[in-house]
Amino acid sequence: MSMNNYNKIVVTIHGIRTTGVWQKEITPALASHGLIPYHINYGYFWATLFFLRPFRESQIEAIRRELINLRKDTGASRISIIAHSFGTFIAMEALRRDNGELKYDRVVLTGSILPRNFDWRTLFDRELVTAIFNVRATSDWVVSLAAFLSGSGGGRNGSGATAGRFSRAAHWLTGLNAGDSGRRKFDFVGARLLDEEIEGHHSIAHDRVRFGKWARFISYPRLPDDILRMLKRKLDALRLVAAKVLRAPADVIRINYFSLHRGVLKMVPGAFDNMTYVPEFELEIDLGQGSTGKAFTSGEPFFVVKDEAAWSGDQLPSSELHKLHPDVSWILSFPIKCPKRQIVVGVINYDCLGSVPDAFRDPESVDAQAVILALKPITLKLVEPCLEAAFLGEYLPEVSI
Amino acid sequence: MKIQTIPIKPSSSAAGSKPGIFMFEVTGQPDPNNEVVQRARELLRESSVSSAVVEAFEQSVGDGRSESRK
Repeated sequence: MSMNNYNKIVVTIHGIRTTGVWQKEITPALASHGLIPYHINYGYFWATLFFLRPFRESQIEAIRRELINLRKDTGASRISIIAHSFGTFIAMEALRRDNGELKYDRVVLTGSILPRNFDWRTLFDRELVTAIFNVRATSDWVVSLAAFLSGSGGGRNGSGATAGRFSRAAHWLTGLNAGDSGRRKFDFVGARLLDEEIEGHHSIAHDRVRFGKWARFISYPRLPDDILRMLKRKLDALRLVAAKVLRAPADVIRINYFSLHRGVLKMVPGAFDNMTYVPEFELEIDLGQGSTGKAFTSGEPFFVVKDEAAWSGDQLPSSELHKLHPDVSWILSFPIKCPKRQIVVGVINYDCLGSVPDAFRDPESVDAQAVILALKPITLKLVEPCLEAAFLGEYLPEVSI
Repeated sequence: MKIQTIPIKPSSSAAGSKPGIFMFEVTGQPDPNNEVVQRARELLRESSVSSAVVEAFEQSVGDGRSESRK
């Protein structure tokens, strides 16, 4: 079986001294966003076993194998994770130790006992994980204990020095390399590592209000209904603006939104206006290819025109080109950046059926440049807030409760 | 402010063929008096788009007029 659509598998992993009641409670939130839950339950794991390296290691290895089998059985190229406490350690250790068979998509960590200097850079550079959302709690003493047992407790003087000796001795006994990232921020700072701090204890994050947010975060780039509704209204408005500026009939101008999904750019389901040609919804554009792919990788607007019967620009492979509406005469692609994080999250494409408008006959002319310059600010202004909220799993202000 | 369209030649194209994909690039500080900016302003005025579109444009090219109207 192969998973070739937007359905994602979400693996949940609980911590020690629990059987993960929250895993059952989160299921409706995941299902309502089209996500497929897969709950890992390794039974009530005693704290004593957690401190003993062989038991801990065998649990990590067992779950690593289970995740690999899950990926193979479903054909999913990546799996998403929601993990708590020891579950965060299991999930990321399994990935770190793997030889490339495992890849994660979006990961939610709560009560994380990963060390704060965890090497996210390598995992992001190797594209082993897409994005991380770390939910920290201000009074999480459990993760502080994990850090202490890993040798990072105590200080240099007085009672601090004694505590430090205990901490290092505990580390020697347990061999644990955990940390308190469930309470304090990771050292790594990057656009794909999101962080949220909440008031409370080790399991405070497990409430039903947050489950919805995590489901939205994981289901990205598929857009939740409220954001999609809002985006469609904005795309419709932008299409009409483009028609006016280009002095073209509104019914020949079209607009859509492409985002990165499993390594290729695809039109986000429902994120288009005035498009009815079904093959286009299946377009898959490689990074750096065509107007869309180049806009995504360069962060600059790109423009391509059909010269007579053929596309004169950097073409898509014929398998993809054949999916394009035969009457499309030009495409203008605007990369969409999240202002706060300065990364490109997708591309808005305007295009047109029929003849090329006068302004675009010479792409290097002042008129063509003026049209692009006129459309760019309003395009970014209208769609960026929607897409930033979607990337973060947040609700738009208009629809928050 | 420099506004330019940079033709990108496809790597697979034959020698001497016309480039057909273009990168639109704006560099430097916003300049409301730039020729392309002026033409874009004209286009927006002639096409009777909403004030929100004009305001977004003016803010992007660094014209203080939209701010002073608030």
